Amino acid sequence: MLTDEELLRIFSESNDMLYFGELYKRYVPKTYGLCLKYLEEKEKAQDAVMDIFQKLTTTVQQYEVENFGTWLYSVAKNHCLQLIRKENQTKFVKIEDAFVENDELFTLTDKQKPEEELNALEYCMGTLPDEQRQSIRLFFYEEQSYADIVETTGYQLSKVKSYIQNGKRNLRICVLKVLQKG
Amino acid sequence: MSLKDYIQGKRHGRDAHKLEREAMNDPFLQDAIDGFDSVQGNHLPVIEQLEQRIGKKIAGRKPSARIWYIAAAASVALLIGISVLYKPHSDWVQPITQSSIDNSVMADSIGQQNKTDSVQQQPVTHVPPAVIAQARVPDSQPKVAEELNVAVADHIELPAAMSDKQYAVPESLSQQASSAITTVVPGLSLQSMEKPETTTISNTRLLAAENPQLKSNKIFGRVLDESGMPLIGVSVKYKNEYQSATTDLEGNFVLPAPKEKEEKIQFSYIGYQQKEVAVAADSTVVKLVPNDLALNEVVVIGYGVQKKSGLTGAVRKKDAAVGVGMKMKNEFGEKEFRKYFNDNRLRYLCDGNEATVRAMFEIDPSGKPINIRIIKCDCEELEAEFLRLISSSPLWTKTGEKVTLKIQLK
Repeated sequence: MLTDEELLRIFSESNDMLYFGELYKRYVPKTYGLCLKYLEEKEKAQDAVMDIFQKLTTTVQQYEVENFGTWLYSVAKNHCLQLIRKENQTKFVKIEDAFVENDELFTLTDKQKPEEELNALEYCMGTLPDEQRQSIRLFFYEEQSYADIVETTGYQLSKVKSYIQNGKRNLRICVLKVLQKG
Repeated sequence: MSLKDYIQGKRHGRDAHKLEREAMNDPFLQDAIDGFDSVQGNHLPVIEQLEQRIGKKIAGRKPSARIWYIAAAASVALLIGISVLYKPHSDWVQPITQSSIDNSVMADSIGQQNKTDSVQQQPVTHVPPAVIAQARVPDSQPKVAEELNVAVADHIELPAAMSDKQYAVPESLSQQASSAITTVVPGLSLQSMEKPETTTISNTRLLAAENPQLKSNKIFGRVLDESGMPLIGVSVKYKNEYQSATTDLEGNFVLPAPKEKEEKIQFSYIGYQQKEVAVAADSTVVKLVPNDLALNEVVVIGYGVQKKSGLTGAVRKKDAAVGVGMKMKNEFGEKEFRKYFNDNRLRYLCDGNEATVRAMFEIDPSGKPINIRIIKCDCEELEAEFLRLISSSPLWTKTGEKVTLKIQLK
């Protein structure tokens, strides 16, 4: 199977829409989901997916795109945000959603980090609120999915997500503090 | 696990966890998951419908380009027709109309097939009829255009081939052609010399022997085989200059003196190794050495030429079948490949599910598919099988063309 970048290169060489269509199709699920998130209505989201495709077919060749996924993400998100602005809606985008934290911290479970970091992490896990600690433990150590965690704990799905998100942030802050002190 | 599986509800276990973990480093994926979670409903049919709409959009764009191709091809055909043929002949006009009718009929039936296909492919969910109608129509168009395109390309070849057989090539053209040949294959003509006839060559040679002053203008020589017998008709030419000659009945040749002192003379003769000799003295005697490698005995067999050494064993049946099959059918294209694929593929592929592979490739001058690119494939087994068979398929007949091929397992 061709990679995104290969498809894009062939497209810009041949100018054959077929290739770009295939490339975009790979991202239809993601793009549609993204539009659903920001536009909150199925019809609007569907229109947006088609509009973005239309827009890209004329603009994509003006850019030198290194990573198509990242690029499409910013284009699609901007498209949706513009739509929201146009309709004069006030929508609150949670800041913590807008940037997703790197989960670098949890490569710790791969046991490649120095021991003091592991110790710091262990200590910080103890400082977390119960819900956060449990969600984090199940997700990163037991490798459960969100739905599994919901089943195990009885928390709501959205809660699980935010427990993990907040727990991660708290952990990071805590671990950095401990390491600096030590 | 794909996002599609995930939003369909496969949310438990390691695979789901993996995707969620991946989303932590991929804000795009995270937003998408959030989006699907925040809006109720089954999103999969909508996604599939969107993918189809994109597909139709691409297909809908193609005809304009294709029509342009047709126009270009048609005008080329017209130009060739005008320049090559003296007078229009009704004989070769007829096959065109005939075949274009055939093609349009074929295209029609393909279009219909296509329509039924697309009907089958429509998801069971409720879709506004206007959308289906709008989307379905352009789908059949590119196929029609493609067929026509092929048809026009055939016609270009047709008049050229027929004119070779049935009509005298116009004189101006043949003159051009022969002058082209003299420049490319200098041995065939002595145009560059003032007097090309053999008698004058020997005369000047005699003159030269008597009058040494003339020697500076000409180079004389003789070409012999390994046993000292003269070689007749050897091509003699300068390496860098545009002068050439052939040896006469006695193996003699004469060339105008080269402009450059460093010039070399090349001798070539079928069955002998090519030789280069520096222009040194006024007259040169050259012995050519036979080229043993070039003299293998060949046997002409039904469908081609094979070295005799290859016939001492049995001729492999597969080669013969390929050769004969090609000659008899005279055509191998998408349709034939589909049949070939279905006849030869592994019976049990992709757990018996429906699957599609779409690929694009070119046919090189010998008929072999090259630059094969898999554009889309649902299932790795199918992709592997496709690659196996495309590389072992008989030679394609439409050489030098780009082919887009879609194969569906049912």
